[in-house]
Amino acid sequence: MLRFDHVTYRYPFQSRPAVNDISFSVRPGELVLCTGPSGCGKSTLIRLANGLCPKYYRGALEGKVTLGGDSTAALSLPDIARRMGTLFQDPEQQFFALNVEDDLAFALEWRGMAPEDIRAGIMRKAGKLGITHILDSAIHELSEGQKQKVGLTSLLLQDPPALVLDEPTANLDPESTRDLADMLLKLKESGLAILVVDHRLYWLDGVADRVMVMRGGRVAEEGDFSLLRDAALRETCGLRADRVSDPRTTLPPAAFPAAPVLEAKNLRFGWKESSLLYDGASFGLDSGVVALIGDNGTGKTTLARLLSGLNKPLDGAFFADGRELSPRELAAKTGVVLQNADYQLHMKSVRAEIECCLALAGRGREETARLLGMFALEELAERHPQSLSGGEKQRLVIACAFAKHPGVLILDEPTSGLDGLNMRRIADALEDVAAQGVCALVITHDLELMERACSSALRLPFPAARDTGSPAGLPRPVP
Amino acid sequence: MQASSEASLSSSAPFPGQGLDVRSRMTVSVLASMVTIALAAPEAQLVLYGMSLIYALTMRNLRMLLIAYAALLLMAGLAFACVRGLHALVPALPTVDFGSMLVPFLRLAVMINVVLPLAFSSRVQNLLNALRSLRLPFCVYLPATVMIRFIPTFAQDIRQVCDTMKLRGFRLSPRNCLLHPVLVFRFLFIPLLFRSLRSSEELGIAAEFKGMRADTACMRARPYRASRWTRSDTLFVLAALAAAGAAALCQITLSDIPPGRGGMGGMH
Repeated sequence: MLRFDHVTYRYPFQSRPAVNDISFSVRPGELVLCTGPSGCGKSTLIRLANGLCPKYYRGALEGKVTLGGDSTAALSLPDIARRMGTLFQDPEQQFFALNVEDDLAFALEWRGMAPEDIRAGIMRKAGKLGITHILDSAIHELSEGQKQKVGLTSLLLQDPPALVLDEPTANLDPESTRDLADMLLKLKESGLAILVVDHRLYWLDGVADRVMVMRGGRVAEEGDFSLLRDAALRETCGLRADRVSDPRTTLPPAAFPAAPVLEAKNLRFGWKESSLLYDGASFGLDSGVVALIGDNGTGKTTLARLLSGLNKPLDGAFFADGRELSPRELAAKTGVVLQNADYQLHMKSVRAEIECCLALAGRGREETARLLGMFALEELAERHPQSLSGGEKQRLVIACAFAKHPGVLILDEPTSGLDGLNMRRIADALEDVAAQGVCALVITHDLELMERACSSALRLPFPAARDTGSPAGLPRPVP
Repeated sequence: MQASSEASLSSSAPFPGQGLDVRSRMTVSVLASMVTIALAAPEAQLVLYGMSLIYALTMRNLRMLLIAYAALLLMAGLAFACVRGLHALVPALPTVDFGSMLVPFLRLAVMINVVLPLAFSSRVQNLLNALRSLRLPFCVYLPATVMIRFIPTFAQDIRQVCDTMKLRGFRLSPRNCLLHPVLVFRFLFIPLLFRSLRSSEELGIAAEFKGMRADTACMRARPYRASRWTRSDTLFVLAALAAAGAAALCQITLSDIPPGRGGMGGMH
């Protein structure tokens, strides 16, 4: 179905090719997993498959990419999209309408399908992917995991014979990840050709027929999933684990400490008055790496916004050192790394970005070198932040949050889209900062990160106070 | 579902104008832009501004409106400073005073008042259908739709950039604007610039990946959400015509400038 024949591609103004002499095929009923360290050419491979390279990004292409026997060079982007659906790592890249149902209907409507058929299809597929309750929501109101599900539903509605999925589990909770694996198995059995590009590997054990490990723009290794059992290969290529345990059930609940770094009392908040996310929730945060876990859409990012003072709770307050904090004091006490790094980069170089954060926090420039080293950014120090890759931007914004040296450091999915080496680097940095008395609150679905770095968990949704007799189901502090 | 039409674009409560057909909103936008260019008297522009503001306020998104006005004030301020600066350097070049900036400012404000409700309350597909029904070529109505669709994305980007500034510990206060203008510029405009470039690219890609092109079957298709012209639409357009008439009357009776003498004016 999809075939690469000695493909070499070079972006405009680049001296080295992003991918070099790549040959492989994905047959109908087959799922191929492509993995490799950051910058190895995986994203380019996807852009070559869906025609964005060179149709959109220009550049020089040698060799041939064929889809259903036809060269993609001879097909328009809408034609390629009909034959092969692409789920982007950032699903917002594929939304055109403003609300979920409209976006799902958009491509089908454009194809001339009858409204009643579109409606029936949406209801069927939305039910399967568990997004029926958000059909009326605006796209920008969704969590990243929900956006990923909507993007996938949109693709499946178009019923293409092939699929390319770029980091499809980056923002999904483990249950949704398992559901996705089951769904891909069924789609594969129904004859779809599927190419998955992902750093997370464990979820495709038993699903992937073949694995390609890329390195430096070339296919370094190829085989079945057992290839990834080789610990030396994983270490050499900076890959993630081939199997993981689920620490969510074993991580102890975040204890209600006697002298917490930050304490929340009787929080009440909801984006709509009719559906509150938290009602009377109380918890305390102690130093350490705490995982904030819960299903997609249970309000993890919202809690980060409340803790950083970006939004005010409808009711309740935050305390530190036994004193209620004003919104400004709360903002000063917390450092937050949101998911989209693009908004968080302002200066003309990586070094200037970190120095600016240190200056705003009233700290000296001498820490710059330490932070650059901690996140392996030394060689990128003079680069423009907006020119970095996604993983490099992610490391930079985390370094900037560290520069503030907050009492509570909140990171929203800090390792989504990161390879094994960089995931371990972030985990080590979190442990370092926790050892200095900071509470690192990590919003994550990344089981590997949880297993490696987290010492306790704050679970959402918070149980109602009346159900447990203690606020948010947590042990009360001893008077 | 169909009955909900354009009312379910956001999960927030629908506003009165949301039930209107996209064609009536487009007609009013075109009418407002033509009239605001044709009339040059400040009194006429104030009438148009007042009427369009009432329409914009039905959007129930005062914050968005204020952000748009703030951006407009900033642009007007920059234009004013540039023209004054050039005049100071080269006295032969024309200059402006605050009074002469009023009409251009009101013209843009009127456009904001009519375009924001169109962008925030219209279903993209209905907008496309409406533009196509005017028999415009694909290369015209697609960019026009993307431009209107870009407005909510841009608004969302502004919100996120402001959030990021707060998280960094930098307040957008008048004091900071005066003491750290370069930093304010960097914090506000650098991420917006890069995001805007990326958003426009992404919207273009999304449109193509959704199968949008000139020859697709959608020409014959029934829309997923039927959009109907109702009595409210007729009344809305009539009200807009009445406002345009009132503005023209103002120009005739209160000003020396005859209708049709529009243009930028104001420079002397």
